[in-house]
Amino acid sequence: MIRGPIVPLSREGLWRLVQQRPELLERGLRVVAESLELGGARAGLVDGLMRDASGAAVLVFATDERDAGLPARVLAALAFWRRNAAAMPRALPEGDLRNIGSCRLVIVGTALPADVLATLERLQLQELEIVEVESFKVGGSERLALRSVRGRLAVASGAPIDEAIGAPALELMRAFVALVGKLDPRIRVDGDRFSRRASIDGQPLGECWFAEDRVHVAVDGESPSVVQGDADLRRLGDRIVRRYLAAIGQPVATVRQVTAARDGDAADARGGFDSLRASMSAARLTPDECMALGEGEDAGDPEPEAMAGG
Amino acid sequence: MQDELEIGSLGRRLVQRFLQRRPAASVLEAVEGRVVAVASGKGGTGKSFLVTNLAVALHRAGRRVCVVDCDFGLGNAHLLFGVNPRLSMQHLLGGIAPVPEVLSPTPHGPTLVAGGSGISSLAELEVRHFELLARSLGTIAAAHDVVLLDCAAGISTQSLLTTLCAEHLVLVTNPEIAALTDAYALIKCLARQPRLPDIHLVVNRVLEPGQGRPTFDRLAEVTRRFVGRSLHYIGEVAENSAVSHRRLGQPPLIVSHPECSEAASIQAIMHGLELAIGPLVATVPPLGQGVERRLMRLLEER
Repeated sequence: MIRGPIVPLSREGLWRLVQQRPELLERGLRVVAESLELGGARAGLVDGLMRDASGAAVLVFATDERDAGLPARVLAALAFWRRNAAAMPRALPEGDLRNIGSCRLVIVGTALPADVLATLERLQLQELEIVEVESFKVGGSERLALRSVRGRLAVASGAPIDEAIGAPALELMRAFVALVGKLDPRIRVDGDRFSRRASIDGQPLGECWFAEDRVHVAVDGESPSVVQGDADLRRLGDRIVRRYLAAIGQPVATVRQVTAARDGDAADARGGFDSLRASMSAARLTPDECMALGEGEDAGDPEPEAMAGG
Repeated sequence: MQDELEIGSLGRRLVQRFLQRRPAASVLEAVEGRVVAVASGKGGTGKSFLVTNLAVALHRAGRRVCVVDCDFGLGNAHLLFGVNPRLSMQHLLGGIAPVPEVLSPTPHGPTLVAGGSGISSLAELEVRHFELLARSLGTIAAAHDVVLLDCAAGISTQSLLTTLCAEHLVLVTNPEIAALTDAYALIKCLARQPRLPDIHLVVNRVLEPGQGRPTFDRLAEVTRRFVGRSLHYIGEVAENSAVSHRRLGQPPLIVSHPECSEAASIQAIMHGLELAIGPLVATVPPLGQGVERRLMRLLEER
């Protein structure tokens, strides 16, 4: 079978990929603007401005192996942002940017040259995150492999949940993690700063992420929903447990079955009485027994009960 | 080899005893009074009369006696003892009062756990109530030589449960056919349960001396024939106008009329019971045969 070659992603192709599927980088990312020129001329060319789940700005640089000017672009854009951070929410009202004190820089590229990577490392930019993308084919269809070279994006599993989402949301997300953690030690939980994803033996169980100022959950195979309080968490727990049981091949009881079982337990609790009641109904005297007891007896009227009796 | 077997058996018994999850003190002091249920198929046979008088007779014989009124809805044993306890089984099962507080002294010696009112049926109680009842009966038995369970009259889950948790059953009946058939129905009902206590018959309110024996013979014969169980006869009590017309608050007959023939009959029944089941004194029950274990087993076997 002859298949086509794997074409390395161009800079434009990479940006289209990020634009169409931002969740590959991080849950909650949203595109605010494209092709920004920050700092004048082409020195500060940024492929896209995105907003993360906490409302912070994310400057995305798509690059390829021919992009020797990448470090200069990054520095120019960062310098511009630092100068004008306070003004950017007003300048880009459609972005609904918050938490403007921090701005992350994300470089998405294919096979970044070693000298470029070394230069970027020397800059020691804490805000810098680098993701490399490689494509491959499975049965003729192209797939992508993303790996984190630097930073805490989705591809870097295990990043702590960003406390910028606020205490209530943080608590809900931690409750999700605790919930799945109690089910089975084999359950793997990973995610980025704004999401957690649970799976067992490679089978997804559910996902929890922060976006649009709310915590969302999606149990595998079900529509996403918003979690707002304990009641939602309990419902989520039930759904997660059912999904978990299905994933490990255990039967999942329906509400009707559970109710029937509970009723059965209640019946069990009275079981001794049921047994006794059965005995009582069987204690009815047969005509032969009555006759045998009454032999030679002048039944007559029963005597009145004495006060001392009983 | 025989020694090894015996040692192994002893070891198993010790392990099993510890596995009963009783407190250590209870394991070491597992002495328990004899628990005897007094029941009747029909109301008005003189069951409570027999219980109160038998209890006093046993007390006078030097036994520590407790009467537990197991008619939780309509208990009246306290009236026959002439006391009005503030706390009853209702408070015990409700978790309001512990065993020592519901044990009421009576003027004539035995202690009493009054039946109280408000609990219409044991069937309405939850499992935890039964567990509490089992533990309470165990505690009561551990502090007495004899525990007489005054069971509710008739055939009900309540009367059957309390009857079945006893070691022995004294069945009170009258010579009349209605009382006999009800007594037989109760026997028939109990015989269907896996562990039937030994049944000892008292015929009360006989109209002439000796009438108890033929009454017993007839019931025993029918029981043997149709149920396949044997009964034991332990005595009769004559009809006595002093009993029939006594007023509430009067002391038990054995106290008020100690010289009468009925009082002597009560004494004879006490001796007859001891002849049948052994001395009515606290002993170490066979492993797993304490009253608490018996009632718990009834619950577990449900």
